[in-house]
Order: sequence, then structure tokens, then C-alpha cells
Amino acid sequence: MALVSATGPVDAEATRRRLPGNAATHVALGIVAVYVLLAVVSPLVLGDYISVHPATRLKPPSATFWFGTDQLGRGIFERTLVGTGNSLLVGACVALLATLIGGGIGLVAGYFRTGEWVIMRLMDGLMAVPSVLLAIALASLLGAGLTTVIIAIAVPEIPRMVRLVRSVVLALRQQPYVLAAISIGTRPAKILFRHILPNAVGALTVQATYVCASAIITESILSFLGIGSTPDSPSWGSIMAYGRPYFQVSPWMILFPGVFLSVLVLTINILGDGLRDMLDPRLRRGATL
Amino acid sequence: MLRYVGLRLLSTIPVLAFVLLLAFFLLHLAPGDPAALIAGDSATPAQVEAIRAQLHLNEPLSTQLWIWLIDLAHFDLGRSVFSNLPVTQLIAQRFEPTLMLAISTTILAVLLAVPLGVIAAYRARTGIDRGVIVLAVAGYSVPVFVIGYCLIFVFAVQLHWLPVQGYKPLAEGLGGTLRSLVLPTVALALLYVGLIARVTRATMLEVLDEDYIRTARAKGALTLRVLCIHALKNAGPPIVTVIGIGFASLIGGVVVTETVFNIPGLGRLTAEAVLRRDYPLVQGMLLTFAVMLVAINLVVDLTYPLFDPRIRY
Amino acid sequence: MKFRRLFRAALLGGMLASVAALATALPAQADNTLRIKMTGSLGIIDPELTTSTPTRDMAYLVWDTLFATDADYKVQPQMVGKYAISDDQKTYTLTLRDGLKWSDGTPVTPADCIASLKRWMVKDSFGRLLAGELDHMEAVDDTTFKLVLKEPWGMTLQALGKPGAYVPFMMPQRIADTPADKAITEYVGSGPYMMKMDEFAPGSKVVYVKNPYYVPRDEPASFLAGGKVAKVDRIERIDFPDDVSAVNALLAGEIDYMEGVPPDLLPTIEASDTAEWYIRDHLGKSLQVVFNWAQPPFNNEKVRQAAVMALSMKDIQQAYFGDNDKLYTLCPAVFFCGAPYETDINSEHVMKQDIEGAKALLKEAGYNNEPVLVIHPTDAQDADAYMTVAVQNLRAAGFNVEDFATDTATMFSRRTNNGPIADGGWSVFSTGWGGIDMMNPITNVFTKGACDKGWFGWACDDQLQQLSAAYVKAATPEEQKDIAIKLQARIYDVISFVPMGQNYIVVGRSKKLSGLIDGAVSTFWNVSKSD
Repeated sequence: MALVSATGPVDAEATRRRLPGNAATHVALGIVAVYVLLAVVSPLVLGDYISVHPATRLKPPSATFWFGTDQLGRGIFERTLVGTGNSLLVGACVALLATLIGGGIGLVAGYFRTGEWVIMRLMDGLMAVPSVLLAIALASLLGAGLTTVIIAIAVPEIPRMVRLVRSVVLALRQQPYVLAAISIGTRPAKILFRHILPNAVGALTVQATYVCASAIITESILSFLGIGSTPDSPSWGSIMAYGRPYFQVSPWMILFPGVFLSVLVLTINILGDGLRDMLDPRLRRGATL
Repeated sequence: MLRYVGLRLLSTIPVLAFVLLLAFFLLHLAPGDPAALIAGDSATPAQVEAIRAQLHLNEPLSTQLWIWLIDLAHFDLGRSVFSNLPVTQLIAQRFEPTLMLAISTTILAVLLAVPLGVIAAYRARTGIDRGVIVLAVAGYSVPVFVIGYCLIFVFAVQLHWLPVQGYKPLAEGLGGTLRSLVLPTVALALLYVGLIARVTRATMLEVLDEDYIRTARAKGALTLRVLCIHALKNAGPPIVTVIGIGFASLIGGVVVTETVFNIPGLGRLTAEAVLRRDYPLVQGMLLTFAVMLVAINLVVDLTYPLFDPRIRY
Repeated sequence: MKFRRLFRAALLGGMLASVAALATALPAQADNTLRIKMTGSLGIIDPELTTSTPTRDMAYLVWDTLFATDADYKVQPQMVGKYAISDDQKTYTLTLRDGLKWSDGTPVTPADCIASLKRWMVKDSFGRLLAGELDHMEAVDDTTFKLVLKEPWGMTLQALGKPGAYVPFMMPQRIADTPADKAITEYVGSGPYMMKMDEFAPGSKVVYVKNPYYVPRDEPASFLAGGKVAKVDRIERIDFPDDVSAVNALLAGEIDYMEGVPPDLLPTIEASDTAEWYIRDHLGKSLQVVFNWAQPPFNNEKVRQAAVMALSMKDIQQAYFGDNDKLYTLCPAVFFCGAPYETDINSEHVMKQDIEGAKALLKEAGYNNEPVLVIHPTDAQDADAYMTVAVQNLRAAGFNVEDFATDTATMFSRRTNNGPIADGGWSVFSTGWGGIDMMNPITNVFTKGACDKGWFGWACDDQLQQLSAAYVKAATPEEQKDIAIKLQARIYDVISFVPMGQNYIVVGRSKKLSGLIDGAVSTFWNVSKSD
């Protein structure tokens, strides 16, 4: 029993054979492709999404304005599509940064426990710094722009990721198969990647999805301060944030970018599940419960 | 354990020192000048300069830091450069609404999310599981103000069941406080229900295959009860952690919710203080947050051995 | 099992308790309290420390003035009961009304008034003019004091009754002795209300209650003059960071008064049975676009003129107001439409957009594509709309615009910098002075041409300086008006600023209110609330 456990419930061979196979994952990958395409193509193809037309402000969706117009008479259709680029970039980069850095630190802190004390206290401190303050300070160092936004949003997310991953690792570390692997002298790196990481992926992807969506919305707060997307380069978050005072009179300003964001979040959820399946063959059995 | 708690509390001091220095330099890195804001729109450059001098803003950074540290050593967080009220008083005013909203939201979210997450794991890939995904998607991507405005429109403006805005302090009666918290709590909880339910589901799925669960299942005894007692216990640390992170974020203040429901909480105070460069206030707020975070994280860490005694501190 | 039952019981108990609590909670609205939502947030209380409008408006509740401006913009005695001007026009003898007391119960003395005037004269431009004319001030007896001038000056009373910031409010001497750049910490006045310090929550709520010692004048209230009778017992100024919430609160009766309703939300109020909206003041404020004279390219007069030709007042206003054209006027006057010095002299380019003309003028001026940094505050809906259009206008004329999106707080500090853009400077910003300050060439900051001693923008012009000085010394109202018209003509030549539309003050109010006083300053005496 111990030996079986020592090689672990996750079999690398089995994983390789079981590439993401289900239909939902394929659809999700297709949606991501469409979004990336939109991000690249729409600024080049679409008409004017910058100039303001006071005479046609807050118009509802129609044949001329597919998604209606905003408070300055700009088309929501054009701005939402063009905004895909900024939003994807911010969402993806923040999620990746938080996951890679936060996940990495969390794994190490939870498993080795050396230096954990210092790392975790540092994380406690970092968690206290609000993004807005970080963003304003960074903007004066690096200049306003998406890089600043990404760093400012990612930094406070890292400690949260660290704490979550660490808690998963702390629990897993006491499992019989991990203890067995340690006792037969398996290299820590192997234990981490073979036994611990795959079992932490579930929680990790849930948090990453959340971080991605919240980054896209938080970006709008910074764009009000002139640190995020500028009036000339919209984002979903900023379109929705500008729509807030007009929600009761012109809900379309929020509806359409909101739908784009929802589809993205759903897609990442599905991809996260797909990734988990790929790394963790046990789920097959779990699914038949 | 007492020794551990003692050490953790002691280590708060370097954490606070780190936060303080970070806050101080971040604040002074940020361009902007409270003097210009204090003086107002029509003040002349000379008048702005006079106020700047009055606030010691022309002194070198090290001098300003020194002045502040001396005050801090006397347990004096200073006064807001705008309202001239003590920073401690301003924070105290905003603390109750934020704490009450954080508690009510966390309770509601946990009561809904944990059972939902357990069921979603137990019935993975079925309707309920998908329902939780939809809930999470909605929680993450529908801005909280949309839910807030809709709730206000229906329950406050149309039906007059609940107040549109504001927070009634506990001192004026629990009933008023609860009434003022219902709508913001519901609007906020959606986000956390999605998050906590998804994390619960994910960690539960990891545990579902452990040996003892497998044994229970082999015996045909894998009921919801087994799931709750064994699996949930083992999946506990991550779930408690994510609840703790959520609670900490709520304590840090939820600016949009506070804005939509006009709740005078810490989120708005922090945002305004940062934007107006109210240096003493921002520094005081960060200090408060750091203390709260250390406390919350400590409590969360202390719960781990309750789920699995093998986890050592 | 036990756990489950316990859990269920606890849950049920909790739910029952909360339902009971909710049901018994009565809406605590029944009292004679006026709940108001004003523009901006009240952080600073000291009215001589800042020129911010919230500070000024709320100060009128707490503090009173020697003289006050009435609805016809005439100065009337307020705290002063009777006054006499000597035959040589150099000595003003002011006698305080009988029984005037501070809200702490001590009597108002001439020493208090003299100290208050001294503090005000350090800060205010009109006050400094008065200080220049003044020989000395002295107390005569317990209620009488004298202002002795070096030369006769016809604007003395106008200065003392100045309605806009900084207002010469009277304070007890111990408070008025505070240095002018240091905030006062004790808020004792002789106005109809007093502030409840224990309920002061900056950014959230400020509470005022009746001043038990206040003695109103007998005349009916007229703008800031006349009898200020405190009718409601308590005024709660509640801050709303969100206008939509404020409108909803007005509709639900949670507030009674909302200043500055955004135009797009007016239909919501129109649909209500319990609330309505009205225009409280037609002077309101205007949008002023200011150019930086200290740096290229706007150190060049022709470039400034080209910018004015490029701007479209109509588009700028429409961007915020939409079809609500009853809420603003496209006004050509520097000193405001509906005010004594209204004129359209030399305003052709201000009123009419001319992109081709602007391009030609830019070329003639030798504009070499120097960057133009436009400060664009995105956190205020109106300013955001205005500046988005202004940027587009300027770009259409060929300006190389950097659209500097930022928050209002950053704009306030950035505009103090007269250095190059690379060192944190700027080229264009906008502001919104009120008509009450703009209508008078003395309090209007754009008439001075005082170079680096002047207001932001640092307009520098000898003729403006001479005309401003002449206005102060003008002997008759006709002469004053004549100079004001010349000032406008010159301002539109050299472009010390350009007005881009005058906006009225729109107020939403509960139909329960009566006795509201119209005007540029929001006042809450004389207001009563029915059940």
C-alpha cells in the first residue's frame, strides 16, 4: 500500500495519455482564440472609437449603434471590442503573476517551512498595502501605463495566493503518500511537482480565475486616476465604471462589456477544470461517484 | 501553542515596521500635495506655499519621518491634515460599519457557500455543480454596483422595505443596524459565495480519493454525512484560509459597495485619504490594517490543527 | 446527528431573531430634521483656510458677517445694527446689533470683530485691498468700532459684505488670533446654527443644531441678508459619494435636499410624487479653460487665440448636459450672464468654433508641434465630459495634445507647477469658479494680469494690471462698468482664460420643504419642513 502511494496517485504517463479531451474544454479554447483575435484585430479594423459625439450620447442599441452609445456618444460596440485587448492583458498578466509568484512562494513556504516565518510575516505586511496607493506611487516611478496597473494589482494578490497554496500544502504534506515518499528519500522537487502541485491545482485555478476577473474590474478604478487605460484606449472595466452613474438610464453601457467579461470568466473556469483533469486522473473516478 | 501565539504577536512589531516604512515611502513617492487641496480652488500660489510650510511639507523626508515616528512613540497617530481630527477618532468612526458589514457578509457567504461547495463536489459535473459555476461567474463578473442598484430599486425605492442608503450604528439599536446591512450584505456576499464554494469544491475533490474515503465508499457508506465529517475536515485548511482572506479584504474596506449604499466605512476613508494625500491618515489606516491582518491570519493559522492535528505550527 | 440538529436549531433561531429585529425596527424619521446632500465633501471647517465651496456654504450656518449681500447683490448691514460714514468719507463707525452673542453665550465685542477682520485681510484679495486703504481700526465702546481709511474708498462696505470666498466671517478674538495659515480648532460663531462636534464625521456626516443665542434681524430674509431665522431644529449634511444613491435617497424621503443633480438623473425625479427639482441659481458657475502663459506654446498670444477658436462651447456643454439646454447658457461674458457687467464685446471667437481659422493662426504663430499637456480629471463627470471634447477640439486644429487623464486631487497640485511639462508642468487645465466670485473684477482672478504673482496660468499683461487698478479706484458705478467692459475686451485679446459655458445650480428637493432661499450660496435658515 505504502509503495503504491509512494509513486503517488498521479501517474505522469497516464497524464500524458489523457490530454484535455472533453468538448467543453475545446469550446473554451476556441473562445480564448476568438478573444485574442478580437484583441489584435479590432483596433485595426473597427471605425472610430475615440471621437466624441455629444449629439448622440446615451443612445440605446440600434442598427447604427449595435451596443448603444456611451455618455459621450461613442459606440459601446467598438469600445467593448477594442477594450478586449487591455482587459485580457491585465487579467491574464495579473493572474499569471499572482499564480506563479504566489503559488511558488506558497509551495516552498508550506513544504520546506524554512524561512516560512519571515516569508509569511512579509506577506502579512504586503497584504495591508492598498492597490490604489501602490499604483499612484508606481506611476510616479514607472510612469502611468498598463505595466504599472498590472504590478499594482498583482502585488496585493500575491500574499493571498501564498496563503491559500500554503494551506493546501500544509494539509497535503501530512498525507500518507507524501510522508511515504519522504521516507523513501524522494527528492523534494519531485514530491512537490508529482504529489503536491497537482493536488493544489484545483484551489489554485479557482483563485486565479477570481484574480483575473477582479483585476479586470479593478483596472477601471485605476483608470479613473489616469493610471490604467486612457480615454483613447478603453477597457471593459472602464466602460462599465463610466456607465455606473448612468446604470438606471442606459444599462447597455454595463450590459455588453459585462457579458464579454462573464464569458471570459466562464471560459477560464472551464479551462481550469480541464487543466485539473489533465494533471489529476483521479477525478475520473470522482466524477462517477 | 501559547509560545507560538506569543511569538507571532511579538513578530507583529517587525511587520508593522515594514508596513510603516513602505507606506511612508510609497506615499511620498506619489506626486501630489495636500496643501494645494486644502487651500482650495481659488488660493494663490503664495497661499498654497504658506500652508505647505505649516504642514512641514517642505522639510526633508527624513525630518518628516522623524516627526511622525516621535509622535508614534507617544502613541499619537497625528491628525488629519484636512479635518484636523485625530486619526484614531476618524478610524474609530469608520470601524463599526466596516466590521459589521464584514461579519454579516462572511456569515451569509459561508452559510451558503460551504454546503453548496460540498454538494458540488459530491455531485461533480451535475446540475448543482454547474449551478455553482454559474454563481461564481456571476459573482466575479457582474460589478457589485449592478446588483446593488437593482436591490435598492426593488426593495428600497419601490417596496420601501429597507433603507436606500446609510448605516445605523449599533448604539441606535440592533434592528436598525440589521436593516441597513441587509442589501449591502446580499450584494457583497454573491462574490464570496462563488469564491468560497468553488474552493470548497476543488479541495473536496482532492480529498474524495483519499484512502479512508475510498474505504467508506467501498463499504457503501459514502453519504453526505461521511463527506461532511471526514472530507470537509480534511479540506478544512484551504477553505478556512479563503474565508480568512475574504474577511481580511472586507475589513480593508469595499469601496464600491460602501459608495453605492453610502456606508461610511474604512474603504472610502482609505481611498479618500490616499487621493487627497492625507499623509497621517493613510499611515494610520495602514497601521490598523496591518494589525488586523496579522490577527486574522493568526486566527486562521491556529485553526489548521483543529482539522488535522498532524499539522504543526 | 447531534451536530446537525444543533446546527439546524441555531440557524432557525438566528433567522427568527433577525426577522423579529427587522420587523420591530421603526424608521426613525419623525423629527424636525433637515437632511441635505451638498456638492463635495466638507473636510475643512475653517472658512479662512480654504476657498472650497462646501466650506464656505456651511460656514454661513455657523458664522455671521458684519454686512451681507442681498438678492439684488446690494450690501446690507447684518451683524451691524447701524453705521455712519463721516463727512470726509474716511471714517466708518459700525455699531453691532443689540444682544449679539457667540454660540458659547459670551457677547460679541468690537475686539472680536477687529481680530476677525485682521485674519481675513491676510488671506483675501479684497481684504488686502481694504488693508491697503486702511489707516487703523479701533474699538469705541462695547458695541461700536471704527474703521479709519487713509483716503476715501467707495468699496469698503462691498468688501465687508463680500459673499464669496474668503468671506469676512466674525469669530471670537481667541479664535481669530490664530495665524491665517493655521486651521482654527474651535468652531464658535454667531450664526443661526452651530456645529455638533461630537457628531462630526468628515466624509460622512456633519450635524448642525440651533444656536440658542442667535438673534435674527427683523427684515425678511433676502439671499445672505435679512432675518436668518432657524426653523428646523437640526440639519444633517450627509455625504454621498454616489449621485445615483443620493437621488434614490431623495425619492425614498431619506434626504430632503440634493444640490447638484446630474442632468441625466432629472427624469427620475420628475417621475416622483414626493420630490421635484428646480434651478436655485442662474449665475451658478462657468467652465473656465486656463492656458499656461509661463511655458511654450501658450506663452505665445496667437497660439492661445488659436486654441480659443478651436474650442466649441456648444459641443463642450452638450457633452455633459445632453438635451437639457435649460440647465446652461452659452454665455459670452467674462463677468457672467445675468450679472451687472454682462456684455458680448470682443467675444466672436469665444462663441464660434473656427477650426480652419485656428489652423491658419497656428501656422502664422509658428507653432512647431510643441506638446500640449491637457489636465483631464476623469473622476468628475462634468469635467471629464468637458475636457474630452476640448482635447478633441484642440487636436482637430492641429495641436499636439497629450491627454493627461488624472484625478481632481492631482490636478490641484499639478497646476501649481509653472515649470516645463517634463518637470511636472502643464499647458491647459479647467476650473469652475462661481458667478458670485466671477461677477466682480476684484474677486475675479482672471482680470489681474499679475504674472507670477497671479493665479495659476500666470497671465501677464500691463493693460490688465492698469485696468484692474483703475477699477478699484473708480468713483461711480458707471465708471466701474465701463472699465469692466474694457477688461473683457482685453481678456479676450490676450486670453487670460476663456469661459466655455455657464451652468445653473440644479437642486432636487422634497415637496415637504418650504421657505428655501434662492441664490449662489446654499442657505438653510428660513427653511421649514412639513410632516
